[in-house]
Amino acid sequence: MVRQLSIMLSGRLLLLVLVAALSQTAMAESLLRTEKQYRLAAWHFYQDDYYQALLQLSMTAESPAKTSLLQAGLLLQLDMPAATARLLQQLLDDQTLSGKLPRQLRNVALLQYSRFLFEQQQSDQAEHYLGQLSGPLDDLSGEAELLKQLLNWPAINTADSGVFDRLAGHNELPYVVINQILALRQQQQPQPALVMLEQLNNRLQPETATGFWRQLFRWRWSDPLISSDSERQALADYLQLLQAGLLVDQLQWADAQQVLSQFASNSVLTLPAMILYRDVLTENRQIPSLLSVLQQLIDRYPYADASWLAAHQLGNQFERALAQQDALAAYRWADQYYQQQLTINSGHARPLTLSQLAESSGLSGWQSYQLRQQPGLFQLNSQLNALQQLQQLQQQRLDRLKKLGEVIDFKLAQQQQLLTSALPDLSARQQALQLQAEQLAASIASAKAEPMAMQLWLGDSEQNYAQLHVMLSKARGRADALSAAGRDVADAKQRLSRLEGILQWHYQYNRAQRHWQLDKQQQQLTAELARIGQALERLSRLDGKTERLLLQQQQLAAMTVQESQFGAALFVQQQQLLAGLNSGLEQIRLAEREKLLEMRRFNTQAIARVMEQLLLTSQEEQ
Amino acid sequence: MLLAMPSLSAAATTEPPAEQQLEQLKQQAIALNRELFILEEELLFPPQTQLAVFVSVDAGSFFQLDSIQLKLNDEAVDAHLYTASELEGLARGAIQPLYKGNIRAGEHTLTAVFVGIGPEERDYRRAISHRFTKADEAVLLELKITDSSANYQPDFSVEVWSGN
Repeated sequence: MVRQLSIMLSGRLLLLVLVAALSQTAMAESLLRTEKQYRLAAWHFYQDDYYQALLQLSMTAESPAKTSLLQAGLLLQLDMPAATARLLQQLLDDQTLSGKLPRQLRNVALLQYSRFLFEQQQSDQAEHYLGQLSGPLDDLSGEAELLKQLLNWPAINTADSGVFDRLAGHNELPYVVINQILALRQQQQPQPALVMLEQLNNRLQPETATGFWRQLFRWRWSDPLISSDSERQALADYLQLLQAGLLVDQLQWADAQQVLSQFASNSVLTLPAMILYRDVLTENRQIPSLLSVLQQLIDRYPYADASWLAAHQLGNQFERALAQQDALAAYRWADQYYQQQLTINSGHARPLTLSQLAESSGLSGWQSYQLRQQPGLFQLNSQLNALQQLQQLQQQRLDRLKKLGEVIDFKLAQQQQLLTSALPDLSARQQALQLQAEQLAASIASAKAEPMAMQLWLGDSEQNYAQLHVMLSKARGRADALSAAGRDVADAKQRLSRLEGILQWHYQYNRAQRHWQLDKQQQQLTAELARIGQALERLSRLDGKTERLLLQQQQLAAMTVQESQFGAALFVQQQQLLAGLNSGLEQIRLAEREKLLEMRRFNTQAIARVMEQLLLTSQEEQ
Repeated sequence: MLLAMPSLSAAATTEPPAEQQLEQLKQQAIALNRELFILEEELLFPPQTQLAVFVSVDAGSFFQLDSIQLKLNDEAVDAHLYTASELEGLARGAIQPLYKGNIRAGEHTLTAVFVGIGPEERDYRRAISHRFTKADEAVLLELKITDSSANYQPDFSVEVWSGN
């Protein structure tokens, strides 16, 4: 517990600046509001879908500088510090590119990259980039100051009373001041450290809203604490513990006891506070309270070393108070306790499985405790969680690939049907139609050459004339037949000629309209045939799409292979990490076993010692 | 001792291979995501048929969004009920990709029904329609919710994105 708390708080001190680098600035927000692609990426970011946000960003070709910075932040969210640093370095080393960034965003990039270099122990380089920050730093000043402190540790300015005004309202203020207090403590100046601590206690600020850039670069250790009530409470608890420590430094045991007696029982720092309280009570000879604290340690923290030690210390306190019978009973109880702990320890030997890890309820209390407390195991567990997320994402991609495969198959089948059946059929019908149209045109052309072609009478409006024309032709035929038979039909022929003349006149009268209509209909037919021809041509061009579809099918197959390889790599990595996790747990278990055995031996010696004393006392009494 | 120091020493050591490998796997995942997305767009939502609808909010004083229903040619195609975190994202300037689908070339009408809390904390329901012609280019429409200080009412509009 102590180690985890230490890391969490140290994370706050070390990395609050580095982690939550980006603060909300009006400039940044306004930039976001004007650029749609970034705003789309921001949607996914706010939904914690960083992969999708990165994808969205990769679709934009605008403003590479800002895109790079956003990508860097998203990569950081995905716990990819090396990739983030590479992007930031490219961005910062290219003056033309970084010069296009607004000042505050460039500062953000500089701070993040400096942070990375600092973590890589490249302090000179970190200072180089940190020195390029251009003021005013506004919301970033707290983070910059904290990073400078860390780069210069332990040579930091401890006589900086202006820090409260300079960083007023900044979330980093408590951490900067705590570093100064710690430096003072290291310099064995507890009194000014206590004064500063008191000032800080009075100045702890309420939380402020987290801006886009700040949230974007939130990372790792800061997550559980940043800008939250739990962070403020943890800070207050830490300050209380620090105060007690400073009082102990000054040998003010009574004051330290007073401070620790009011320590919250449900704080993340309760265990270290109880351990210090135990020591203070021991020093102050407050036996009843001490026994109570030891008992609480045993009850509340069954996996902590301090609790195991407490089991022995109970007897030890009775022994020191010369209550030998009580001491013997306590030591014997402790012996049973150690035996019990050793049995429990053996039960931890079973290695963890992935399914157990996937469900937090699948872990034993001891396993959960170790995964929380041990930084190395915590890291391995986080990595396994990240792998699990990658596996889930991959499963989604595989489902999508399957769907795409079905789509391609469907489209290809459609193409096949079109090309093998529908298209030839349609083409044949189009050609037949074209032939018919040509024949009709020829027929019309030849009819036009006749003086009064039957088929060229107009539709409805000249149907009567057409019928008359037919009747006249028949009558002419009969007149010719009668004439051939020697009958005198001259009069009838004359009348027929007159009627033909009238009909001819009507025919000629509508000639222009007739020709115009015929021409128009022919043009329409030609146009329609041309349209059909074009449509068929378009369909024929789909033949080219088949090639494209086949190409996409190949692409899909290649992607499926890639996914398969990726899945295998994930599996291998997962097994390696799981093996590492189980190995780490086993090492801890064995180390704890050794510790318990040693404590038991030590306790057994104490039992022997007390029994010996009791025997001596008994003999003396006799 | 500086509180940060234990973490510093831990962080300062060379990155373990496992972490590097994990980063590489994540990079691969990002690349695979991108490749698949491009292929999906090409196959499922080609520009010739694509319709995409986005939502942005620059309001807060006169309207609090609760849900949006989307109709295309009087036929419901999508509906979305907003969560607090989604509303927060919108309020911070994010644009939501609300709908993506395929439509035929020609005339279409998109209708969006906005439901929420309007001025004076009253239930508010408002519909807007947008007629557009689908051609070979993808149609990208942004439904914009803004505050109108002129009449102290929310304002709903459609912006056509171009150059995409």
